[in-house]
Amino acid sequence: MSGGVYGGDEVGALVFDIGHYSVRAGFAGEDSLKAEIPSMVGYLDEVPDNSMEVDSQPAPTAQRKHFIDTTSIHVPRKGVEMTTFLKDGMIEDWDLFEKMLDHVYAKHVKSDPKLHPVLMSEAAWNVRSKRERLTEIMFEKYNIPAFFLVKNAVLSAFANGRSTGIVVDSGASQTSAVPIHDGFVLQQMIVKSPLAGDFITMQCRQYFEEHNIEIVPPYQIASKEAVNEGAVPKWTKKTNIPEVSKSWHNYMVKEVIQDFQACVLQVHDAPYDKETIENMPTVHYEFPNGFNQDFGCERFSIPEALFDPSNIKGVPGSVMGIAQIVTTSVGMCDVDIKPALYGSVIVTGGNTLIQGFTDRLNRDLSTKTPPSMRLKLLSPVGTAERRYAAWIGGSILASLGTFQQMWISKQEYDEGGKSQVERKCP
Amino acid sequence: MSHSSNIQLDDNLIDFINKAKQKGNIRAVKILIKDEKLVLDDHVEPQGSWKDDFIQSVKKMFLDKEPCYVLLRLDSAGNSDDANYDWILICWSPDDSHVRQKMLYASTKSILKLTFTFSSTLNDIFATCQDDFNPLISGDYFKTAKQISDDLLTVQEQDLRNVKREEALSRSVNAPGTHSIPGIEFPITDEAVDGILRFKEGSIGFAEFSLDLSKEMIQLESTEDASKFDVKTLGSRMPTKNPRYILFVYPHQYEGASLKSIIFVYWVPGSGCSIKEKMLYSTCKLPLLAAIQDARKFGIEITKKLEIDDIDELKEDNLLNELHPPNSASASKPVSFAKPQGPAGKRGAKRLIRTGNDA
Repeated sequence: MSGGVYGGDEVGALVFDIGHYSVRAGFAGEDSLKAEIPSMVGYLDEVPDNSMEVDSQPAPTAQRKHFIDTTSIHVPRKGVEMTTFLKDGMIEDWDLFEKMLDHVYAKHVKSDPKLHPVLMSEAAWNVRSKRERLTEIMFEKYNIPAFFLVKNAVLSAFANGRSTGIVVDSGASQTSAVPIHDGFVLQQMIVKSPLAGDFITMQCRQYFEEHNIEIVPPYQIASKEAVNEGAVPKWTKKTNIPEVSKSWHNYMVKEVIQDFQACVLQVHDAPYDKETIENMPTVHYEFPNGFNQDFGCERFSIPEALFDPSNIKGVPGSVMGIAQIVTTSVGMCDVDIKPALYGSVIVTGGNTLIQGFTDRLNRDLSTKTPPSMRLKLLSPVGTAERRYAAWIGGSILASLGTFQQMWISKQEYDEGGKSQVERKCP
Repeated sequence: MSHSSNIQLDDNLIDFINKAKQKGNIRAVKILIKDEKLVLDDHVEPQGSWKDDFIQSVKKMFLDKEPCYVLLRLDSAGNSDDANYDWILICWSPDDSHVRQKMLYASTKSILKLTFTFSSTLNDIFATCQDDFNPLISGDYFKTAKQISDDLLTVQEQDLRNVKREEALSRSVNAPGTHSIPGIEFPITDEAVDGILRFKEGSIGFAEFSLDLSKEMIQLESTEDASKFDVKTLGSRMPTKNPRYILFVYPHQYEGASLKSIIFVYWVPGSGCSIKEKMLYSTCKLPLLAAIQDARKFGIEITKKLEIDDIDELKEDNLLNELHPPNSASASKPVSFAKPQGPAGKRGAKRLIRTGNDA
């Protein structure tokens, strides 16, 4: 039995939690993760210098070079494009995904993949073909001794001590409500919406464009001087910047905006009302190029769109606010479990860290649920626990000695093939 | 199977719970996860009702920052068997306990639920603070989901339920029971209504109803005072060629008790009556019976409803049999069925010609 050597806590299993913002990796049983790597990957098609010599063989010789991890992608390089291997929470570009895993093993785990079982999280709506392909890659390419795939929503719920509840996960690319009953994901009742972190970033960007605030990412700045509030920034541009691609520049701008999002934005605890909000305190923010300003109304009006999408520009009318996502999802479930779901609304994901997010969700939900219903929102207090709930859950689960029987072992894979994943990891 | 930690139960715990289940001498069992095993931590024996015990002793089992499972035995039994009490699984998981503890207890619950089979499905309660037990103590928890969730239904679900309700209502008006042909409801004549009412009061002990086929009415044929009526005369009262409905009180002794059973008989002679009569009487029977029994109309409780086509079956001993069927289990002898008589002679000659007797 291949799992036999792993007894007690000394499993040495690796836990991967993959999201649109970042890939989280670390050893099972540890409290915190080893690495958080941006899910965006830079690539460069290096055309060999002598490519012009034969006309019949143009493209295949082109070598694609990848730039992975925070340090590497922040270096301005000529022609590097940014991309991601994920789409809709599921792995889309398998080559790129393998590159990412190679990097994690080489730079962070620093150990041979065949020594460590792997527990990986997946989107609750992952499809069978992708799960099988993932299993295949892990066993065939990395030769891992054992593998397990768990729905990230289940892990988040378990990590909050619930086996029944509805997980509201607002991450980078989308916000989803996933009902879970006794550890089962109710697949048919999942509701998703694109109103999430990236959407807020887009809204901020639009706001800056409208107000002629130029976002200059730090890589362009050589020096800057302190200026008065609202004044034209005084800064000098670096001269030796290579000609970067548009996607790379956008990514850098996005990072600046993400910082702005985290520092400035706040969700008002009642539906947006201009008069009350004008009385709220403003927040001062200084951009990398020295431009600084107090932000008042817009602090609230931008994230308001998450809860009330009706008055945003450029969004089709059918998009639902977050509270509505939750009530729609619960509404589809059986009447018998509705009370249990409303009793455990688990809030997770990086986007929920916007100030006032949970308070507002609580308020919106309580107006939409019957008064007799006991509504309870659960959100880990710590930033790390909120962002990495799924990883932490996976880490604990994979470290259990008793869990070893649950793994798909290499032997089982060899005998049963990739379809084992459907059997062992529901 | 759902995702789970695969943490299994300790053998001691399995024995303990099985015994507790059989004997019913344990009120609550506290279960903890220790060294990746579910182990018995503590138990409480019953002192009073389960609610008292719960407030007195079981509640103390739930500690701050320490999740646990508690199996609580209620006083109600899932079925008549005394030892089969209903149990509730309480999952205690305070929000401020360590994330590892919360994870373990959440992911192990399904194992605990699967390992034990209780008389009825094991309900569970999830609690994070002492307040969460209030619905349990107040009894709200035991309300069926239907009662509490009226306002939880979405609009579509409410509509669907209303439709179902109306269907059920309209069905029960037209045809009691599950008949595919709703009965024909002939109006009951004033005389007959009067007869039924007097029967209810007890002034008459026998009432005979017939159908007026031309007027399509249910009419009263004859009555008899309670004092004068004797069951033995029943057979002679029935017309041999027409169906009838009869309603009578049958006072009798059974196992020392004197009983007054109200019997409804639908009399339909085996031969001699027209098909039309049979058809109408049989279809009118149900609405008439429903009217007699309906609390809003007459509200007479009928002990026995019979459908009889042979005068012999109206004899007193047969009625007694119908009212109190001999208990086959109480008879010590195993029941043996009489063999059917073999054909007379060897096989007999072929009988092609009918004899005159069986017309």
